[in-house]
Amino acid sequence: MNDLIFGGTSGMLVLGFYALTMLVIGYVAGRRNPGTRHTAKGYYIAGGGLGFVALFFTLYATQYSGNSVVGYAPTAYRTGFPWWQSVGFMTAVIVGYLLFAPRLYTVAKREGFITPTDWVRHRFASTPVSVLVVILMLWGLANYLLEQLVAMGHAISGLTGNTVPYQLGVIAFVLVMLIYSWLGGMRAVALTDVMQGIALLIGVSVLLGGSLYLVGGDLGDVVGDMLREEPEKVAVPPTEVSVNWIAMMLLIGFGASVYPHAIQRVYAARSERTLKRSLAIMAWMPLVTTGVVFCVGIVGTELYPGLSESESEQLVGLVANSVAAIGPFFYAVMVLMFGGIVAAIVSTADSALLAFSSIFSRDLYGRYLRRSASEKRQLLIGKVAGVVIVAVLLLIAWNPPGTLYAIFVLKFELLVQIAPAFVLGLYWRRLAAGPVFWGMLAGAVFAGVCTVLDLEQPVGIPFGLLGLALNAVICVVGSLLTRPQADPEREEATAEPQPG
Amino acid sequence: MGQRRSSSRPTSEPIRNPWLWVAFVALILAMAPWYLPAGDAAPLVFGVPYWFPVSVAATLLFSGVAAWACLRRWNLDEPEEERRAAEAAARHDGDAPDGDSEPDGADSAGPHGEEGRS
Repeated sequence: MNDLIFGGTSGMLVLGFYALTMLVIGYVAGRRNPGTRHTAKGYYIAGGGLGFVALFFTLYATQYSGNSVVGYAPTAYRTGFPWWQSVGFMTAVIVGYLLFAPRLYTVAKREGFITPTDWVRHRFASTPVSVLVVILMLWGLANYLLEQLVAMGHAISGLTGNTVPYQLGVIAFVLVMLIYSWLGGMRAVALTDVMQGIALLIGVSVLLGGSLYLVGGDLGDVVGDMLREEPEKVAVPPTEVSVNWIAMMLLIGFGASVYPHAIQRVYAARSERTLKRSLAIMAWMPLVTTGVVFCVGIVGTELYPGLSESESEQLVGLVANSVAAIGPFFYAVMVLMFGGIVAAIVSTADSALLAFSSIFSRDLYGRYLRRSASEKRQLLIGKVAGVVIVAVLLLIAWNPPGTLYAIFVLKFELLVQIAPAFVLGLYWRRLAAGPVFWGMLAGAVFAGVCTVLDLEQPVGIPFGLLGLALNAVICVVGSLLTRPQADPEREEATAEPQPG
Repeated sequence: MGQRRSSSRPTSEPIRNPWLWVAFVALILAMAPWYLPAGDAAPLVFGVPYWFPVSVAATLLFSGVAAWACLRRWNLDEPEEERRAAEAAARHDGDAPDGDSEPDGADSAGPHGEEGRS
């Protein structure tokens, strides 16, 4: 994203506008809901009172980060039509929610859950299981945050024409994010997500409209040229690619729906009606987000043929430059879009940071380090832990890894391992704590080691999914071999909800 | 997104509908063109390779079925929430003439009491 023709002063002005708006929203959210700052439930899940608009946009902004635009368009450019899978796997996340969210919402409201670990503790009453879940979630969230910080720095320096250096840009927006999160908690995060989501949606739509205008509006010509120059990007992909496509749908469908910050949005819904309406619309959003970005990547093959892998990483910036040159309207929208990309990255980071703080303060500090700590102190510790982890990650972000996509997959490898504790745990009474612990551990170690050793994926199946299969087998077989214990509390946890 | 009132529909949750999951699996399998000969691009349909419209159609159906399941096959707490909201609104109308009658649930135990207990 270097050398944007609309970067520089106008980019700085737009970023300043976004930053100021976020701060105002945080301030207003905090003042209008004083409980937000003083109770864990108010701060971390908006008191369980998010309405339809805020819930929908916070689900949207959490699932779609800036990487969904700046990372996926180059992948579509390099991969061609098989990258249509990005629409499928983003929809699979909603199907993943359907596996557990209806029942979890009911239990969470009844029991007053705040963190994802609250469910695990309620269901299994096992310290080893709870601690392992906390470790996996904190690790995944930290990695997720790191990815957002790296992307944030690149986007800001690109949009400001390097007037704002990478490090300074990241620090400035991290401060903005911390301030509005501190002021208004989840409510502020959700309300800023409304603005960020709208900016991103409008931006990518105009980006596609502008790029189609540049190629004469005929996608058929683009495909014709691809067929001549790079037929492998158009043809039916090899079996391994198709298998990987299916595997990614399963991996991301399970993994992204059990993200800690995704689970907390289930808790934060004002009502079941609000939650299911939000998810119903979310099921269509991949078509207008990753689907649009996919088209931009395909059109990019016509506009900028023959880019190397590293050059293609700049594709969105290149296309945006061309679109901005069409006229003043497109110029203005491209500036807004790049601001929106930065805002989308911030909105994804703030959700992860809030979840990190909640898990650290309530599941680690309040439960194991200082059990007598008041709710107010736990909140303060959570906020401070958020600042500390961001500071540590910033140091890592200043030596960013090569490609964003590699670390995107890596965090799924481990986070997805908590899925059986939620999906099986909610519906199968016999699921026992011991097999859940060993299954999660085995799945995480297997997936982590294979990924770190950079082993070749068998038939395109990610190690995270193989680890999940191993995890599920251990959970099921281990529970069947375990003598069932009569425990009224555990039975109640999995009880089928009855009509009121 | 008009729905019948949830109280007039039976209690349901998506995971208890096996055909729904058969449909999801079938659509996932239809999206990726593993069943077609690798390397084929012709004929073009609507200017794109013939396998792509099939994949797009499967994706649209996947989204549609997911959205339908959210709205029509998920009805656990809503009847009780509606009943409580109606009660709260009636109380609110009697007690205070101003303010909004929508249950916020903010910083409260929410509209859930014994729901979900067997």
